[in-house]
Amino acid sequence: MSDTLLSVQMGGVLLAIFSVLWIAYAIYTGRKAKDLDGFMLAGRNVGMAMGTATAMATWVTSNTIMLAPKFALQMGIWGMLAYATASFGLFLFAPMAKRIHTLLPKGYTSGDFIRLRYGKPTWILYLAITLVYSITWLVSMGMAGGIVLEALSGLDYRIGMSVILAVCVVYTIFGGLYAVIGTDFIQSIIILIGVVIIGAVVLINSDFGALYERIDLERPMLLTIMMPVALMSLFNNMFFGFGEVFHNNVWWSRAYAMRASVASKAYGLSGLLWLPIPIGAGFIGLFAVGLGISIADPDMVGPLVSASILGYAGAIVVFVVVFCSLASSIDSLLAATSDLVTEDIYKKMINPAAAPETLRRGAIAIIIFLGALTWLFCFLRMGTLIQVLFLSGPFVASLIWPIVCGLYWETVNVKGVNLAIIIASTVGVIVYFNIGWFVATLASAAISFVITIGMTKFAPESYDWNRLQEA
Amino acid sequence: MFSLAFTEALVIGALALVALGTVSLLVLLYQDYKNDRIW
Repeated sequence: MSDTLLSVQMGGVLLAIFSVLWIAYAIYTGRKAKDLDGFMLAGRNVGMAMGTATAMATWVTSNTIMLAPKFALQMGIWGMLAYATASFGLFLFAPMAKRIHTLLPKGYTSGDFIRLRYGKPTWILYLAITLVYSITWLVSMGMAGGIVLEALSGLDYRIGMSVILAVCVVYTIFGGLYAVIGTDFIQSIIILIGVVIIGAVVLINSDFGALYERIDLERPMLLTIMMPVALMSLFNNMFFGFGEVFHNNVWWSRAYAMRASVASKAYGLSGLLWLPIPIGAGFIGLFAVGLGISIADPDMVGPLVSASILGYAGAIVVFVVVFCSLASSIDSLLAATSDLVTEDIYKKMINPAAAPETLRRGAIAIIIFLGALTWLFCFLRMGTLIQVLFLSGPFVASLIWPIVCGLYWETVNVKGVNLAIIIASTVGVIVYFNIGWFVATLASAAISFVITIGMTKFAPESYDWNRLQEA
Repeated sequence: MFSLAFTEALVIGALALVALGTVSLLVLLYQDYKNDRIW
């Protein structure tokens, strides 16, 4: 008997069906991308439905589906709630999206803001942090894709990982952000319906009261209100989410792409849509204890519980939801990181006179390069890169206050910002290795706050907002 | 200790919100389509 939930044949068929579907739909949607603004920013006229769906789907990664049940299994109810706090990043980015539209109506990237607001040294620091973060996030998702599809269906890791990456690269180069946002909408609907189906069937087929009593008997810690590690991880996760969303071009490019009247509302609603997903997908991890299911690998608790209750159909739903979660994030990262490299490195540093058509060709070449680089790291299964992603928490958290203050205060002290990024990142890394991951991001965010605000209050500067119009 | 009622309400509430979110997205798409405001 096979030790995977699906057969290799079924895994291959599902992968083929959805690969063809995404590419065909992306070609259809992407035909609108006739110029550079169309390719990079979907014509800067994205409406409420597409805007909300793309923000939500991008933030639903394979981790949301696979890690939320693991958090619940290991940290109980607080684990699910801790994961759900990542949605606060989307809520708080909502007013920032409106501000970004007002300050940089012609902007292309988050790098435009940092360069014009703080100057070259901060810009270089920012680019180094965000590019390492984006590539490691890409690699972590490529690897997760290969591992999860192999665990679910026995499909070879290299095949699953290569197909997912290749499909995302192909449809992103065909239609740019139009294709990315268009596919994100369909993927959002599939993810949401999948979570509801799995959750509802698990609930209907279980005796909630009896399961609760069994958890209370065997692992009462999972139901306890006072669980210090889980509480720390809640705040740590929340600040990691702030850092990731506030700084990364994935979110900035969507803010530029949405209509000015829509950006703020779409981000707010996407947070509301995202908030219940880690709980809806995560509680089945808690049920593993109540149902007495033996879990050898906590990473697989979600699929195992789903399959044990829903059977083969449950495994198919999990497979499809995971594939959609991966594709919706990988395509977004490919497009946004390519925009950042094209605009901030190629155009600003190498070829300032580049024509829009040259930039579009450059963006396509960079998407292919990023896809190939990600594939290589994934192929080599560089596990340490996953550690780099976790380690990026303190780095991205150090950018929270420079970005928030820079968007709203004209008095921000630029030297203070540079010091805040460097010192907060360094201390965060020390805390990561000496205390633990669950406080490293918090420490970095706190230090960045003290230095950025302190230096600004101690030595305020003056900034002319009109300089941002140069973007 | 989180009570049974709280845990049950949390899970059911979350799933109801996810379902409501799905419907909201489809309604928003229909409205944008009707007003020619999708893109």
